[in-house]
Amino acid sequence: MPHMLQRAAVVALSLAIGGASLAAPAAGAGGAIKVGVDLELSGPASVWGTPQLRSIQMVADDVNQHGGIDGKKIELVVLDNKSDPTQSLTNAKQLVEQDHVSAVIGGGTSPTTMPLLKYMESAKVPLISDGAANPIVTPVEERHWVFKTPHNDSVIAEAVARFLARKKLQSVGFISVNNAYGDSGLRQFSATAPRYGLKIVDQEKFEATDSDVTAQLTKIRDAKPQALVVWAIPPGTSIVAKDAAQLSLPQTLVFSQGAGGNAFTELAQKAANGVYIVTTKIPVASQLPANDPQKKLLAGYVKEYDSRYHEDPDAIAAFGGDAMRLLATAMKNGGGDDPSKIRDQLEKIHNLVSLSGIYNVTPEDHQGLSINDLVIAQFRDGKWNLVAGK
Amino acid sequence: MATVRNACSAIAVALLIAVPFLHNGYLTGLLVVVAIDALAATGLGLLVGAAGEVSLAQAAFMGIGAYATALLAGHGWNAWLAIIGAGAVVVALAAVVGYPTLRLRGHYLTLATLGLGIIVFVALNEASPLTGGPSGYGDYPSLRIGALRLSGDVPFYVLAWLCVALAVIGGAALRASWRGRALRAISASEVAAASVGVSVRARKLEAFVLSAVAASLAGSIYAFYVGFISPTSFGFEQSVFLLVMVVLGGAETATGPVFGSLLFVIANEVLQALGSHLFPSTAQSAVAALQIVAFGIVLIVVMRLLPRGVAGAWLEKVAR
Amino acid sequence: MEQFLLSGLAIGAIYALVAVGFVVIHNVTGIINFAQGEFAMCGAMTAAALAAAAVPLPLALLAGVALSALVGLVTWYAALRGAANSSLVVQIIITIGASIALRGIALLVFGSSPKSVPAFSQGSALTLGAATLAPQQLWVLGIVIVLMALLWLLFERTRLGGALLAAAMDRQAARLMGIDPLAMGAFSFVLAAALAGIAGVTVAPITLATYNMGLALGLKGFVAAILGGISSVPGAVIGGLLLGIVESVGSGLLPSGSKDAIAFVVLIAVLFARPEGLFGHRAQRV
Repeated sequence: MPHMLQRAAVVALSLAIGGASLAAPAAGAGGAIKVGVDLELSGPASVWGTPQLRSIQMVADDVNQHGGIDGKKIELVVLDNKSDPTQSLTNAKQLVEQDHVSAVIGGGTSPTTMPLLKYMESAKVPLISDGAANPIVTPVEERHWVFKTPHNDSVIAEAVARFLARKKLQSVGFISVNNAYGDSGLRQFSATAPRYGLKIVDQEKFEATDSDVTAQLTKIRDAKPQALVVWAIPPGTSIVAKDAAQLSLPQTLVFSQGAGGNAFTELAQKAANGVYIVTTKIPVASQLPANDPQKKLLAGYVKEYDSRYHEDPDAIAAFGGDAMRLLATAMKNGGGDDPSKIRDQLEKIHNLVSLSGIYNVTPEDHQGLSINDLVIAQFRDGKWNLVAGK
Repeated sequence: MATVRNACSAIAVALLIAVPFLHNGYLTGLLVVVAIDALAATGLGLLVGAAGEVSLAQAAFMGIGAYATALLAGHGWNAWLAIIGAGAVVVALAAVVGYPTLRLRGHYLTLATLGLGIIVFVALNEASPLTGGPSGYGDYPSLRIGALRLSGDVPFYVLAWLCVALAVIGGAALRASWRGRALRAISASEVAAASVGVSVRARKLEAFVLSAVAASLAGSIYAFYVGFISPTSFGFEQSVFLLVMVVLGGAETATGPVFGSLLFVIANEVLQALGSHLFPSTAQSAVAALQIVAFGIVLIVVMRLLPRGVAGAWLEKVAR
Repeated sequence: MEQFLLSGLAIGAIYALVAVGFVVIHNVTGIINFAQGEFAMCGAMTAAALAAAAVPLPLALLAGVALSALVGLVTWYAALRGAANSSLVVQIIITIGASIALRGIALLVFGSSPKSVPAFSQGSALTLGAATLAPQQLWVLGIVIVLMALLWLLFERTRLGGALLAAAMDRQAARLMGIDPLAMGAFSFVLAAALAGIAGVTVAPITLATYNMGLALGLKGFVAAILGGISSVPGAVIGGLLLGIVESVGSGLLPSGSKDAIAFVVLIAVLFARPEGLFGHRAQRV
């Protein structure tokens, strides 16, 4: 048996060499433009990866139904990176070298994006990431080919701090999930808070798999801050909300945009009444004033997502769709299927009304959104309600 | 049997030498990842096959090797010295963990390594000011030979596979030596081995430390190859995968784990490529889930075909 | 401090349920079952799906537990029936393969977003001195107490339970007495999976059900079982409760990110002092 497995391994090696050498042709069948997608479809981050893929798919289908890119259809080549950084890098290589994609959307989070940066720079193919951390697009001199669609965490932190300062709150507690997302939020908020006169009096962490955070919340309660900032993802955000209600925590709770849509509201229910969230406009799309430039697009997006997938889209899924929209725009504006031209066109995207905001990409800013694309919402009676002012 | 095995090895070596000349970045890069895994698996194979102990911390040792190397290099050390320094750290840790645990009968090393793996993961996550925490660490220079910076797939391909070759040759030499015989005796029966004068504890500790060093080297190469490390790459799941590579390929020979790594990684990639090309993009979430189911079932089936373990099946074959 | 203890007790009860399952399987078959957490997950996800489809809650919960038990049985027959004589490595990989396959099936059927299960009863938190306890946590404690009593009755007062104990103590002798070890093996898996299923549906209202919730649960249950002594059912319960309390107090007193490490440091410390766990018998060489 052992030597049979060894024979199998040799066969596998030969197959791999053969298969890799017979790479797919550069252009897709019928002249399609190939876009590679490298996302977390399984593993701990799949709660975001799958919705992001849906959003990308929706936008791609929409583009194809309206004539494609100068008649050519967009073809998605999708690989699961299993929430693993190494797999993400291997996927990127497969997409670029075997499938000859014109651009790659991925990873869905920061840890799966960072390993790709050096490679995409040397391969000279544009990468649009759905990760939230600042280092993805900075320092700009080393990120010619890398873009990202979510707000930088520094901007979200700024919006949170600004909101708290406006409410005349000065002492805050901070609780975050113990992964890259929470860590990035912690760093950015710690840096931003002093500039708005805020003092972090207690800072706690919890694991993504924890079922109970009463211990951490008790410590926060004892430190007596006026507000509590929560930087986490589902299901942790719901658990924080529920436990906070259970302990009758007097603090105002402010969540970062990772809090989640249905997952958060369903579990937290009454416990979440009164909490605030800093988010893009998607959770409150129906409440936007008529003159909001995003209103029409978002209304259509929410309706389509709902009818296709039977649940409301959340802010995180939209980053995928935005990445696809940025690419489609760059391709239509002269990028075609040429990676280098697409990259150049991406940097010229101006006032693109999209799902998470209005994108203005420049050579210095490969993210493109501003703090004005964020809103504050408050949870009441089963849904998020837009709060006027910021 | 030996001739078949040698033929397989010869073909594999020939193919591996040919790969860089194909100028296929994806394939070369993939085989770098295989080599890194194979290096760690070879070390683990020594522990499992020769000494009969199961470690669930091999990926944790890789992580310590990777982080120690990156941190030392990031703070000014020469990259090669950093690799050696990291190895020293791992030797010390393996000795400290192995010394009290290996004296106990039963599967306490396995449990202790399970705990060690988790503790290392938490430590890497928590030491955020130093290690970057969950967000990872990338602020270290590249590996250099003189003034030449090692980057791209081919240099690391050569480096990694050279290390694998060294590890395999070293492992084979060890197994053939008196140490190897002592380990096999221990693996069969500790009591019997001790009664004929074998230093059970010393031999097991040696095997454990050596396997950890192989993991550390693998981690160091990984750190320079990818240029960015985060704790998620070195957790419990990865340790389990390394164990699977060892058992898949055969733990009682020095080359077995290398074949196991080849099979494991390549099968995974082939499955991914097939799934992505045979099904439309709308079905890819389901495809990803199916691949996971398939992987689990394959593990069960392959292990069931060898119900008495690899060593048992081999012994059966040889006995006939 | 009371809050830490109380919350720790509640989560510890969940760990205890999973741990007891571990011990039952290990005693009767000698297998260390890394798929234990996935048994809990199957129950939780099924109950969540049924509850979302407007099935009355008690029915949804029962169906979840029943499905867990079924999954346990199938896992035994499909994967582990002949594996009791395999080496530890092979066993570990087989049960991990089972856990991976189950996770994949759950991902396929239920998707990756968390699902909710309604709490068993509505109501506000109970205040005991300086600490509070959510109604669902009270349910957890209550259910575990009742289950422990039922298990005791099963083992001490019924023929089936007696046969199970006999098979656990000495497989050969039990066989000589007409007790079929394979049937006992199947039953141990069904029992362990049912217990895990109860743990899953009871904790899901607190944590939401996700397809990979079994990983953490299984690991914690495993640690609890080792802590209590892998051969002792009451030990597993104590181990679970102790683990929950240590974790909770630990995150209360130490930097909260290191909670997972605390549990393992405690485990290793206990193992060095007493390798067979707190209540285990002297470990046999497997």
